Amino acid sequence: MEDNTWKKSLKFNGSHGELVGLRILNNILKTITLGFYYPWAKVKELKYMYNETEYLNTRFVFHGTGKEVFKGFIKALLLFGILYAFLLFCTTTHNITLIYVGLAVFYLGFFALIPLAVHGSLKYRLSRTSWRGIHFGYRGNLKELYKIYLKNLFLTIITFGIYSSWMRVAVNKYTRGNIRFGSIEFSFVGKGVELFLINLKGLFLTILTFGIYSFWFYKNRIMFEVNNTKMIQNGKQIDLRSTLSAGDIFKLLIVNYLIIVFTFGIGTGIAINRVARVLFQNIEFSDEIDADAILQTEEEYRDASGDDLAGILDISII
Amino acid sequence: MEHILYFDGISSRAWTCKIDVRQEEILIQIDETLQIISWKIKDLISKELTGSTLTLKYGKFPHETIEIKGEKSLDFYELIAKHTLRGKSNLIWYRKKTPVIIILIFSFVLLCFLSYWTLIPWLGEKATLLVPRDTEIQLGASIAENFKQTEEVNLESSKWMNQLVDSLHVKEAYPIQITVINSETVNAFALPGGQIFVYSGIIDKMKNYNELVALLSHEITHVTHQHSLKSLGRSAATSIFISGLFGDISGISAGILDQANQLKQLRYSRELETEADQHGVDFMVKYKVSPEGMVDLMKILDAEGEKQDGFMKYLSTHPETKERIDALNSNEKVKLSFKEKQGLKMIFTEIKRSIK
Repeated sequence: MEDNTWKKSLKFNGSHGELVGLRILNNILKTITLGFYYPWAKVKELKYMYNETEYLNTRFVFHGTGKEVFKGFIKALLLFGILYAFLLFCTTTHNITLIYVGLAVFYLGFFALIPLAVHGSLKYRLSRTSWRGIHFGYRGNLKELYKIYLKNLFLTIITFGIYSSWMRVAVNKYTRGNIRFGSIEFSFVGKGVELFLINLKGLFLTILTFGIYSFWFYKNRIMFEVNNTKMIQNGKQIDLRSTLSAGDIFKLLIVNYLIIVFTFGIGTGIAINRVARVLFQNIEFSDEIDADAILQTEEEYRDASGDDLAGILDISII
Repeated sequence: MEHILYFDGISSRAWTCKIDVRQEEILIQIDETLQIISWKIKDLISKELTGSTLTLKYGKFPHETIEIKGEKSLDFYELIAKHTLRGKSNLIWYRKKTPVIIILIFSFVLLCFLSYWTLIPWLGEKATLLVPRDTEIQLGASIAENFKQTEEVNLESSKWMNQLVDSLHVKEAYPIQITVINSETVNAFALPGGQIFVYSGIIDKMKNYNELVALLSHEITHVTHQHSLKSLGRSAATSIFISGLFGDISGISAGILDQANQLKQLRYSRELETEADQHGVDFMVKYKVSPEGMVDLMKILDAEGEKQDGFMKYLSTHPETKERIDALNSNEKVKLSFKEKQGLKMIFTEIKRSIK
């Protein structure tokens, strides 16, 4: 395909002042309410980020509410509370065997929760996101995801982590293949061996160049994720590609680092805006979708527990 | 002119339209088909302004949506807000966003700054007063025990030192326990709960018992006024405040803040030293020992301080000794003189002998 036919259809319009102000206000309210404002703060920030992102000149809309996230947060906390309580109980017995059992249960529980978090988060976030009134959706099945996750985790453990590249690809293939945007489907066509070579090369060269290669490593990882994602509308495939260069990433990360350090964290909003802007504006599409012809296909899903769980586990989904 | 789009929630087709906000309803006329759709304002699911785009959501899932782009979006928002209970409070935010943000940031920074300098350290100090005296004594004793393990304790000299305190018949709320450490260091310090450590180096420079009593009265003031516990409370409270405020910031900013905190703590330590000097004089008067010894003690420290280079002097926890001498000389009580006590003189001679 000719280079000049690629289109930059994504745009991020966020203004630094607004996000910094929003985050300060959120922090004040979180401090005053001893953290209870967290769900509402999170929703405000998500709404801001989604609404400032434009595809083909139309903004995305995030429909989530503080109440939904609060309910989910309580459920996620309870789940964690049980794990912690068991570990705490085991340590108070001063019985070595029980302490080991407690630790094992805690870590196994931690790993076992990951697919639940990924599944729930995708379902919630996508269902609560719309563009031109059409909602996204995730049709994945939790049991299927567990099967893929456990099988691949087992292979990753017995190969001392070497298989992790194939695991990532398998999970990506399943999750992305189940994303719907109305009648538009998504797919992931990356190969495990490709990611393995990127990781191997990245690891070696980063060490050999005392970290300098890390910017190329980031670039390759992002390209692998973006370039292997496809959109399909009525049988027509649209390819995506990232035009991000190692230099862009270097500039982005160094300047962000300085901003955060010298504003003592107050300027984190500026850094977030910069990441979104650089990332989205470097994604190109081989063709445009027929923007008027997407049909609403997905059902509503309002349970935010998985998304909150992902927040606690520090897994970033979208 | 504003740009208004209607989405029916069934397909992504964007219909350009005109809208008319009436008393209780919004009338939407689709440009292409001239079809008129009516929404009841009270049934609106949400109305949100982002930048200059107003998004209105209506009906059951999948919702119908209207997007109004352009300068008029805020006017439409205001018009609709008039007919709903919620949303009016948001208007001030939307209308005056920039000044509101600036005022918020400004007052937040001011509040943090004020808390950092006054409220938080004060709270930390007050919180330490809740520590029971027995706990404070135990804490000091256990730190002292650890410290003694790493230093060479002069048992004989320590015994004489404690005898000196006994012969003064010191009545304080804390059991005073003095330990002499063999070292050339010209210094002494007090731990919470009555544990005082004196280096033989400073005793070596002393010429009479007045100076030694001055040193002890200075350290005993630190103990009775709970100076170390208060410092600990203040620095702990500020640390908690800083980490709460800045949360997950990087190592470098944490380092910068830590340095600022140390300088602040330094200023506080200097205040405490001055307080200990002045109350030390009162202590000496109370137990009838010539307070002139305090000035002589400062002269010893001053002579020692001259050996330090400029920058270290600036960062010293004690105020400039010359300033301390001036402050002492302006205290009338320093001019009082008491009769020499033979008992104290004898003990002082024994202490001097025992450190040789």
